[in-house]
Amino acid sequence: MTRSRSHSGLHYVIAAVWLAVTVSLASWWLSVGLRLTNRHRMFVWEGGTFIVLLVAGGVAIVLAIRREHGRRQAIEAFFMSFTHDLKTSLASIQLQAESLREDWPEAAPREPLDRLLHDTVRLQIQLENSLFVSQPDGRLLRERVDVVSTFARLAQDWPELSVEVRGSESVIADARAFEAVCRNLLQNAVVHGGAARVTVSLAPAGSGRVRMTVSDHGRGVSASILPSLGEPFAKGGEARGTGMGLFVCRQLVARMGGSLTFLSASAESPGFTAMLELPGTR
Amino acid sequence: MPRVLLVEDDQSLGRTLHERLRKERLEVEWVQTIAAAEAALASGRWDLAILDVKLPDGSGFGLARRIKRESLTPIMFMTALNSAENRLEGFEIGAEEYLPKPFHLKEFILRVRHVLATERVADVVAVQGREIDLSALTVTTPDGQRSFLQVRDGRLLKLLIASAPAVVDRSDILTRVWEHDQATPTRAVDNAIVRLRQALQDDQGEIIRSVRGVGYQWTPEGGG
Repeated sequence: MTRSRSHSGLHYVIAAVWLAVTVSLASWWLSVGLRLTNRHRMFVWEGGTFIVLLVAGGVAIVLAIRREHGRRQAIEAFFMSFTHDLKTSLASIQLQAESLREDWPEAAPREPLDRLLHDTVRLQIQLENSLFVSQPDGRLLRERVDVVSTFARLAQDWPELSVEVRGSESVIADARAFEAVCRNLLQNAVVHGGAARVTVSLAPAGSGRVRMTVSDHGRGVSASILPSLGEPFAKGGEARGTGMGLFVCRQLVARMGGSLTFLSASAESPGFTAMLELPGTR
Repeated sequence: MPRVLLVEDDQSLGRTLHERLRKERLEVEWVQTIAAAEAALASGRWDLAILDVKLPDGSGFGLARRIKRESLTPIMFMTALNSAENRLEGFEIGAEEYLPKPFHLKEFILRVRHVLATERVADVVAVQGREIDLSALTVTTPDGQRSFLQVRDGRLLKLLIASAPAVVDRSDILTRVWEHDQATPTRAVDNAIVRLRQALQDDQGEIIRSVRGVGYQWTPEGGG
C-alpha cells in the first residue's frame, strides 16, 4: 500500500516536471517566432504544434499513471481481502483440528490430525511469505522481541522437533517479520533437512547487536549451493518448495537493520546453519 | 463466572471459539455484528471483549474505541489484519492483547486467561467503609455520599486494585490507562489520583498510597 502510493506520487512529480520543462521550451520557441520579422510563421506554427503535442502527451501520461494507480489499488484490495479470508479459514481449520486432537482418546491414532496441522502451518508460512513478497516496502515496526519466548511459541508448530535455545537475548525487530524469519528456518529444518533437533545460540555480537545462530541437525546442503541461497527461487538442491523462504528471510532481516548468512556443515553443527545479526536491546 | 463477549463474523471460527471458551467455564456470548455487540455491551458488565476487526457492519477498531471510552472492559483483538499499521492502531486504542490469525488454540486460551487474571476485579469493592462500584463507576463513602467517577479514573482505580499489592509505575499507568498517548504528561496521572482520593475521602493517601519517585499503590488495609 505504502509503496504504490509513494511510487505513483513520484510518477506525478516527474510527469509534471517534464511537462513544465518541455512546454516552457516550446513557449520560448513560439515567442522567438513571434519576435522575428522574417519566416516568423514557420516558428509560430512549429512552436504551436509543439505545445499542443506536448500538452496532449502530458495529459495522456497523467491519465495512464492514474489508471495504473487505480488498477494497482484494486489488485492490492483484492489481495488483502483474499488473504484475510484465507487466514480466517486457516484459523478455523487449525482450531478445529486442535480441538479434535485435544478431545481425541489417548489410544486413538492422531497422525491424520497431525498431518492436517502440519499442512495448515505450511500454508500459513506460504501465505505470510507471499504477503511480504508483495509488499517489499511495507512498514515494519521496531519492537523489543524476546527470542526465547518467540521460539518457544513457534516450536508448537512442529511437536516432533526439539528446539533448544542457548542464551537469553532480546532484539529490536518487527515481531511479525522476526517470527516469519524464524518460522521459515524451522520449516526448512524439518521439511528440507529432515532434522529432529534445532539449536539456537544467542550471543552479543558487539556494537549493541545480537548474533543468533540457528543450526539444525539435519542433512544440510552442499557447499556449492550456499552462495545462491537467499536469492529468489534458489532451492537447496531439491525440487520441493518455492525457493522464496530464505529470500524473504534475507530481505526481512536486511530491512530490520540486520544481516543473514548461511554456513555449511561443521563439526559443531552437522546440518544447515543460518547466522543472523540484529540490533539488540542493550 | 467471567463474562466474555466474542465478536466474530465467521460462522465456523466463531462457533469453534464459542464452544472452546465455554469448555473453559466462561460465560460466553457470541455475536457477529457491531450492532449486536453494542446491544450486548449495553446489557451489562463484561470481563473481556474479544473482537474481530473486519466485521460486516464496520470496523472492530471503532467498536473498541467506543468500549474504551464508555467502560472498563478489557479488549483482545483477534484478526487476520496483521500489518504494522493495524497492530499499531490496535495498541493505540489500548487493547490488552492483539492476536493475529491464524493462532493456536492453546495460545488463544492462555491469552484470554491472562487478560482475565490481570484485569478482572470484582464489580463491587469494599474498602474501609467505602463501597466502590466499578460497574456503575460510583464511590459511596461511609456518610452515604455518592460520587461518580470518570471512565478514565475508573480504569486507573481498577488497574491499581488489580495490581495490588504491587506499586504501579506512573509510566505504566500512562501506557495502560491513557492508551499510549505520547502527549499526556505524568501530571495527568497525579490529577486523576487527586480526584480518586477526593471521591474516596482519602485525604491522607492511606488507601491510594504515593510511592515517591515510582507511582501509586492500592493499600486497602491502610498504607499510612
